[in-house]
Amino acid sequence: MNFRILFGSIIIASMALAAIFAPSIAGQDPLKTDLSGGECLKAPSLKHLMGTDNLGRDVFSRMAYGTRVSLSVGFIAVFISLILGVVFGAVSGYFGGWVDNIIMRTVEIVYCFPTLFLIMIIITFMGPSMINVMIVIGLTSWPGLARLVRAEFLSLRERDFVLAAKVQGVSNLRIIFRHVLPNALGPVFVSATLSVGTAILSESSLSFLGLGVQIPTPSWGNILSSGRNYMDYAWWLTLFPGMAILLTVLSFNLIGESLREYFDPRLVGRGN
Amino acid sequence: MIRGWWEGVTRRMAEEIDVEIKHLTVQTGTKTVINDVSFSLYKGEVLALVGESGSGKTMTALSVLDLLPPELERVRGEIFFNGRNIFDMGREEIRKIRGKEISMVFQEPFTALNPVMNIGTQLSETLIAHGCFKPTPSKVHGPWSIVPAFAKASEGRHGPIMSDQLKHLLSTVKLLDNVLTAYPHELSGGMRQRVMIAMALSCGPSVLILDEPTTALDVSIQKEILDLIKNIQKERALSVLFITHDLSIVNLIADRVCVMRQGKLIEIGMKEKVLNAPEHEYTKMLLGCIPRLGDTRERLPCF
Repeated sequence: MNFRILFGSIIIASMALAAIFAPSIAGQDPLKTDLSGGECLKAPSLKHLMGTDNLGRDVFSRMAYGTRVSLSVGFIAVFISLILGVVFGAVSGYFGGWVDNIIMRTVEIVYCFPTLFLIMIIITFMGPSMINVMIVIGLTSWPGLARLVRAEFLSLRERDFVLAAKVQGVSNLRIIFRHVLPNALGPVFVSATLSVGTAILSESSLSFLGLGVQIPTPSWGNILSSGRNYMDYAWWLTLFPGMAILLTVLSFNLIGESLREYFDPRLVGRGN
Repeated sequence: MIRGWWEGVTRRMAEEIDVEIKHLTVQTGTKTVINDVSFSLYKGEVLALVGESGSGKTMTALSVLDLLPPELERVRGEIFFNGRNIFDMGREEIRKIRGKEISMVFQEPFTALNPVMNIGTQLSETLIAHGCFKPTPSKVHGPWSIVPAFAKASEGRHGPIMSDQLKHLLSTVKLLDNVLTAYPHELSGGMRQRVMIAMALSCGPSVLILDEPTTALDVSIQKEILDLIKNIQKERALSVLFITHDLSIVNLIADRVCVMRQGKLIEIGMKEKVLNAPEHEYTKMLLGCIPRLGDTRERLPCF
């Protein structure tokens, strides 16, 4: 557990620091092109830690600024979907009946659309921008979470401690959010951490298609997608953003696991 | 014997009624779970509700709090508490009665406590629900208390749940203060049941429903818990509805006994009368089922 939370936190913390202090660590303007011959597609060196891209821009600077985009899209989108998913899932699972019916049918309708196409359609109407990407990813990714929360609530609401809380006169709202929800948080957090990764990937796909973060502004997604043309001889253009996405997703998962143990004291001390 | 019983009845009639159940009938689909049950719980008495599994004892108790499972439907009947029909009350009104006026303790202390909430927080929940929680931040212990900032932070964390009010509650059920910061899985069955009792008593209810509170415990702990309940009942003059299937416990704790079978009320009367001179065949059979030392019978009688 110590190793996992240490590794995850270090990676996420350094990503977050890179995002916050992007201007000071970047060293060079991420938007400054240098087409004066020799500067395009340079391999990593001391001057350009992660090399340069086809327009002679410093990849390290672009990565640092891209971290801002990717992390904030990941976090905010998941935050939106977490709120929607938890509230709808909890209400649906706890009350059951017609409330459950309405919410779950809505979830199924949202599920019917292929997510990426739905996002694309909405983005074409709303116009591509970072904020729109966050909102749309958040609005389309809550149904899975809602189902998960509902499933947890369906089994938890039958437990004696819920009846005991009712008998003691605790209100339904308080039972849902204070008594039952903490018991359901484990899988929710694991799922949310996975969603951060998925959201970052969705953002990359949208940026790749030109519907996400617009081109001169760097994001991991569009650095990766612009690097794909030069994959044969400029590995640094795809390796670094790819590794960044991989490490970030991995770290979120490791932290999610540790959080699960924190929220569920019964698991502490089991295994190592 | 008859005279004694009659005296008991007349004496009771003069006393005040706490909970009165009238013609309660509860069904699930076509099956009748509770069939026209009527009885009263008088102020300050211990009424034992006896019967085999599935006889509708627990459902009767849950109806008193209007907490029947959704698949059960009340077809007929009223339950009066303080002269008001609880089925006529609004949702918020009945919520204010639960835990404050009428409390309940369950059979399984292992599942009735929330596994992810420490005891202090769980105890405070009932008090918070009825607006009578008085947190008193206490001093912080441990190495971090040297650093003022940490001391302040941990005060917020442990202060309220270590409040004097909660400590006092625990002392009424003879538990130590350190239980407040413990989680349910760290406690033994008897301790958990004490916590449940403390929780049920926290807002000073006048009626306590005990649903087989000792069934899941071993015999020596049963005795302790029963003594505790008996003492608290006498001290506070609580009206107790004690659900059990164990007639020896009835003998120990009850004033009156009410026998149920298959959702019907079979017999009700003073303990001495029902246990010594039962009128109904089923009650006689129940009494015949108590195993005795030197008993050579091989089969239990069936009804």
